[in-house]
Order: sequence, then structure tokens, then C-alpha cells
Amino acid sequence: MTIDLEMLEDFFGDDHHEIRRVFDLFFNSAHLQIQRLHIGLDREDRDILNDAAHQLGGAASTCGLPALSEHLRKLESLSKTETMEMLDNAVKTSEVLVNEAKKEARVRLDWQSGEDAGW
Amino acid sequence: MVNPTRQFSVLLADDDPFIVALYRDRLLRLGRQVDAVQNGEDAIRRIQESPPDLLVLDLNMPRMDGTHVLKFIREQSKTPDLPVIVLSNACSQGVIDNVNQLRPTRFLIKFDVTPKDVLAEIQALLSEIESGNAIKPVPVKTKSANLSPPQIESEGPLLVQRFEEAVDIDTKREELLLLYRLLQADLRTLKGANLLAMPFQFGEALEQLFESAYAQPEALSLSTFETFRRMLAKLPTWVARAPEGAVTPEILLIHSADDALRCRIRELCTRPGFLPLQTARAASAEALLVENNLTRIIWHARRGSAVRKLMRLLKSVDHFQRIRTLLLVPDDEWPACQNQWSDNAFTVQSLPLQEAELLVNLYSLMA
Repeated sequence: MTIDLEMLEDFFGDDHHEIRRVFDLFFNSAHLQIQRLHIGLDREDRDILNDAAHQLGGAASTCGLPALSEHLRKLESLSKTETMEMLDNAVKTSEVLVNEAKKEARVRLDWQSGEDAGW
Repeated sequence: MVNPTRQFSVLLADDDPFIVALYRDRLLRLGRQVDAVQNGEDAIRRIQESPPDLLVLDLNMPRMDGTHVLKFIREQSKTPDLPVIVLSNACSQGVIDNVNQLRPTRFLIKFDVTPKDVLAEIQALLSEIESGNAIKPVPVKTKSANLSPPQIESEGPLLVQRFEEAVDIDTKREELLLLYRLLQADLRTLKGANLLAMPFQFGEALEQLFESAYAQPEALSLSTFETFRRMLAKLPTWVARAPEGAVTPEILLIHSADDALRCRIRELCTRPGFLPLQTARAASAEALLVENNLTRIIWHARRGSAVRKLMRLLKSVDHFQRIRTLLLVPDDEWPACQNQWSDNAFTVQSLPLQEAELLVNLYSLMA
């Protein structure tokens, strides 16, 4: 299970419409940060990589996505030292994790609300 | 004197629109007056125009970071005591020290707190402000290991991750290595069972610590092993995270109370696809065997009675027929236990070890 839905329900109650809206915000934000990660790779700019991983990691943690958050923390910590090839792999993994979270959010929230999540 | 009709205001300063939206909406629903900015310069401008009652401040922001914003606030005659919750992602000990010198009212690490915790802190502080009570700053509580930037040092044959941010643990080499491995695990293809088995490599003391931690995780919530516990709590997530097509290594369990023998065998077990784990305690080996459906075992028995015990154990598990065992027994003990064996899945090697013979047997076991 990628999403800690319980943590979000703890915050929002069982208002899944609200949770879906928060995920919408998060995934928009994640999309931008993933783009920045790719820009960092293209330019071999470790500062951009570090910053984007830092931003997205914090948001993921807040959004109840511990796996993604953990991964990005690690990417952030390694962004200053590891080879670009390794960082490229780690960025790809980040994308995979974001997409997995999207799929899971869509399934779990749709299933529980019966409405279209929109992403 | 507090004006009862006055609405107390919160300024959120964070460049992540997601974070801003999350807390702004929630606070608005709670009837709070909320404003938000996305960089340090705008935060300063807004505070100069109209100081909020409470500032929630991110550190890593464009144009001016949160540390400079806080410094500015503390140096201004109008706002030296403005309540500020610093809400940041994990950051280095140096940054934490700098921020702490600027007297944040609260310092919360996003990784360590849930949104509910943050909201509760905001609400609690606003209540204090509304009641006119003096607010006592609480220094940062960093529960989690921070890996930014990593400093990996070689210490003997082991890689030890020394965290830049102090993690309040007794930094035994084995413990650090364990944490390091656990933290590394998200890029590996290990199953949770593999990770749970890892501590068993590091000797009895850590093994016992691990067992107690896993049995009573809540008891450690404020202990020096908070990080350890947090990592353990995330194991199920890691399990779900193995990339598609990833090969999960099979655990090769090495049990021997003889440290030197155990380590020597482990060094020889280098075949890809196998994760050699060693344990000195029979109880741990049994637990690993049963819980993880292990099928490859190297078992050193000092006496015939231990062999009989092992046989009983193996026969008690459901997957008995699939288990392949390399049994190491002293020459003079073998006759006493020979009649215990009734299955050809066992290979027996007598001690003292003949290296070549051992290698053949090991490779056969891992085939």
C-alpha cells in the first residue's frame, strides 16, 4: 500500500472529496518537481536535483506517501555525491512511485467515493 | 488586554502550493484568518505591512530563505517576539543550530509530523495567543535520521554512514550499519522478511535489541531508537515498492554459535541471488526459518542432541520437503546423530572444515 490513507482521514475526516482535491494539488506539484528533477539531470545541476527532491519529499510526507517521501529523501541526500547515471535511475524510480501513487489514489478514492478523481 | 472580537491571523510562508493549500483551507474552515506567500521576500513585505499573529515558515524558499526571514523578524523592533512555527523538510544540523539561535516558537520537521500534528500545533499556539499567555519556545525535535549530505566513511571492512544531523543513538558500528542498510533498502529488491532478518547478522546484543524493538515498538517511541523503529514501521511499504521484474534474493541462513566459523562461511556465500544471513542463536534461526519459509540452511551443530532438535524443527514446518540443509557437525558427534537423518535433502559436512569440500557443498546448496 503506497498511500497512508488513514493519516489523511485523520486530518480530513472521511471527506474523500477533500482528500481527492488535496491529491490533485499534490500531483500537480509533483509533476512540476519531477520536471525540475529532469532539468537537473539534463543540466547536471545538482542544486536543482537536491532542491526538487527536497520539495517533493516534504510534500509527499505530508500527503501520506511514505515510500515516495523516503525515496526522495535518499535522492536528496545522494544528489550531491552520486553519479548522474545513478541519479537518473533514482529520478526514474521517483516517477514510477508517483505514478503508482496516482493509480492507487484513483482506485482507492474512486472506489470509496464513486466519483472521478480527475487524474 | 486581548480584544475578544479580534480575529487572529496566520501567515503561511511556503513555496509549495500544495502545502499552502493544505493548511490554508483547513485553517479557513476552522474560522481562522489566513494569508499565504510563496517566498521569503514576500513574507517580509507582508509582515512589515501587517504582522500576523502567527507565522508558519518554511526554510527552503526562493528569493529569501526562511532562516533569513526569521532573522529579520527577530531583529525588528515591531516583531522580535512574533510566534513562528518553522515547518521544514529535514535539514542539516548546521541549519537547525542556526534556526534554533533565532528562537523559533516551534520547529517541526515535515517528515516527522503528520498534517494533523501541524494543525494541532497551530491551533494550540493560536489559543495561547488569544488567551494572552506567554508562549514558551520548544526546541526542534528531530526524530529522524537526516542523510543530507551523506558522509560515508570506511571503518574496517564496513561502510558506516555518519549522519550529519545528530541521531541520538549510541553509535555502535553495527547499529549505524543496520540503520544505513535499512535506509538504503528502498533501492533494493529485498522483501520485508529479508530486512527483518538483517539485524541477525550483527551479533547477539543487537539481535536482542531488535527482537525487543520489534515486539514492543511503541515502547521505543521516545527512545534513542526512534529512527530504527520508524524504519521498521515502513518495511511493509518497502515490500510493496520492489520494481517490476525485480529478483528477490533468497535467504541463505547460516546458524552457528562459533563466530569465526559463521563469518568464514558467510564470506564464501557470495553467489548472486542469495542473501546470506547469519545468526548465533538457535531461537532466531528458528524464527527466521518459520516466518520466512526459508529453504536454504547451513546449520552448525556442536552436538548430536542439537541435530535431533533441528530435525524436529524442520519436520514441524509446512515446507519441510523443500528445505535443503548443509549440516556441519564435529566428526566425533556424527555417529551419535547419524540415524536421525531420513531425508536426502541434507548434506553433511564434518568438522574441521576442508575448504574445497565446503565450497562444493555450498555451491551445491545455492544451485
